[in-house]
Amino acid sequence: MFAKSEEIRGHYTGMSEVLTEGHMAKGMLIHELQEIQKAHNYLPAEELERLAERLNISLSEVYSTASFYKSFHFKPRGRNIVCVCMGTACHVRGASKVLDALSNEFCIKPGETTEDLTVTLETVGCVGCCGLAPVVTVNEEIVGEVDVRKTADVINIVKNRNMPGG
Amino acid sequence: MGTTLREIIYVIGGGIIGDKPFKAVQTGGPSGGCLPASHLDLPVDFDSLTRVGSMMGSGGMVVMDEDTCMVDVAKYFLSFTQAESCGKCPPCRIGTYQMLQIMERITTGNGRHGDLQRLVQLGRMVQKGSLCGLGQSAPNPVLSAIKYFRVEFEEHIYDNYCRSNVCSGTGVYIINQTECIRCGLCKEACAFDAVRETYDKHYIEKEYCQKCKACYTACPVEAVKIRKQSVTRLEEQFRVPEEHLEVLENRAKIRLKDLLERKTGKIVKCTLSCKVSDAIIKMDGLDVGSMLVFDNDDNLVGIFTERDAMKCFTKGIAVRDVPIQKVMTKNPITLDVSTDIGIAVNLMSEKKIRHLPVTEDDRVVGLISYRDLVTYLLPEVAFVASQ
Repeated sequence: MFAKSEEIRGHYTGMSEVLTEGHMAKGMLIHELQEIQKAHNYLPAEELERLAERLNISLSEVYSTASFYKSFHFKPRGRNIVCVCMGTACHVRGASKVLDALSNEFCIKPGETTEDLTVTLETVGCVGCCGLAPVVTVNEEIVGEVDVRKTADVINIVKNRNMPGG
Repeated sequence: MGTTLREIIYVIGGGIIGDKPFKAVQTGGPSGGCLPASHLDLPVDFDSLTRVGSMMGSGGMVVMDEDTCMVDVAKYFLSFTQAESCGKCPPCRIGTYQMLQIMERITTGNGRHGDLQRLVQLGRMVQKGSLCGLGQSAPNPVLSAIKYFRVEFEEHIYDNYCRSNVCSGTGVYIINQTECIRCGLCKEACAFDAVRETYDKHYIEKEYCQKCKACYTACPVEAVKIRKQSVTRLEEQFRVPEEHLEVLENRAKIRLKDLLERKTGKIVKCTLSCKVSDAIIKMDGLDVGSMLVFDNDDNLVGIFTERDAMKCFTKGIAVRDVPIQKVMTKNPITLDVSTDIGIAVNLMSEKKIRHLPVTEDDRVVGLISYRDLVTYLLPEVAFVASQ
């Protein structure tokens, strides 16, 4: 029935005795979405259509699952993810000023990516380093106590990463 | 468990950066709300925190000083819980959204009289009508901020002023001529052409000023000051120069609480069913110009003044039969007991009211009349006029 039924069965090994084909296909959905995102850095529309056909699930169901989670992206993301923490401690230490400064520098709003796909600017609820407030993460690298000078540092880190050989 | 907040903040935590005065501590995440300095000796455990309207939550604490605007912080927490609302029940879905809209207006200088009552009403409704813990605790930060920091809300609404200089769109922006070094950075920063330069000074044109704080942030010597409307009015009316204004501001930093302490006499009150004629007779007997009307739960619901009595006469109201409920001014404007009298003066002139009930922690504790304010301010005005 499925193009890759063996693949699906192989994924479930012993459990495949008990589960129906339909259940197994639905269960694989998130795993498959993660694989696609890992390969392409986002979820291209054509890939999702092909996925829906392979697993014999409606496209709307694929989208409804994918769009529920913040970690699945439908547009390509930048090479550098700059994330400003907007938690309580960071907020009272001026996180919104840092966000405005970065937003102005890269000319994008939070949640957007630059045209040349170099930077994505995001916000997050709390990084967990409240003692270093305000905090900015650049690709998992944490920059704490971000004042005017350090904001310039963050911008430089990102610009250097984009230079050839950087 | 059981250690006081004071010990945790000052002994274990090492105190506040720069030794700035303590303003509030936020406990237990966005739903916990903030506690003021009066609660610093509270032991930290589940029951004590719940009793004062906060909660333990994750056990985290954020300490705030004078540079934090409590209205802004309440809005910040509410925006978080509103975004996290699943949307299943209307009280939470719609209630938190509407509360957020009101908070947005207040923090951008567009607050209106009645906003505080509406926030409290909506907040209680959301708490009672929500199916899950998120909705039940989402209004907490706003309600507790109104309870403990009401004066800041009133400053935002009635005087368009943020005492921590956090909220854009509030305050009157002025360049202090003695501190200004004429570097021109403010003029560069201003995108609205409000900062003007003449041969002897830089100044801000009020009509063009959008209160975006760009010049305030750009100034290297902090010469851009954000003033209260009520104070700048004094300057304009009496032509008080900038330097004397600071002196006047300090001398006028008396609060309504201090004025009330000088007054004798109790609040003149009555119930909703009291007849108009009885109210007028009582007011005449005690020689007062106003009467406060309370409902059965002892909440302030209206005020009846000499002006209202005049209206009764011109409309031909049958004063012996009609209950005061029908003719009183509903939802009177009130101010918190720790408000500066400058705000009270400004408000009473603008709204043409001569009697102002004063509240503390949701209770009416006194009444201020225009005469009380003038009696205090008269020596000050005379002093200024003589300069």
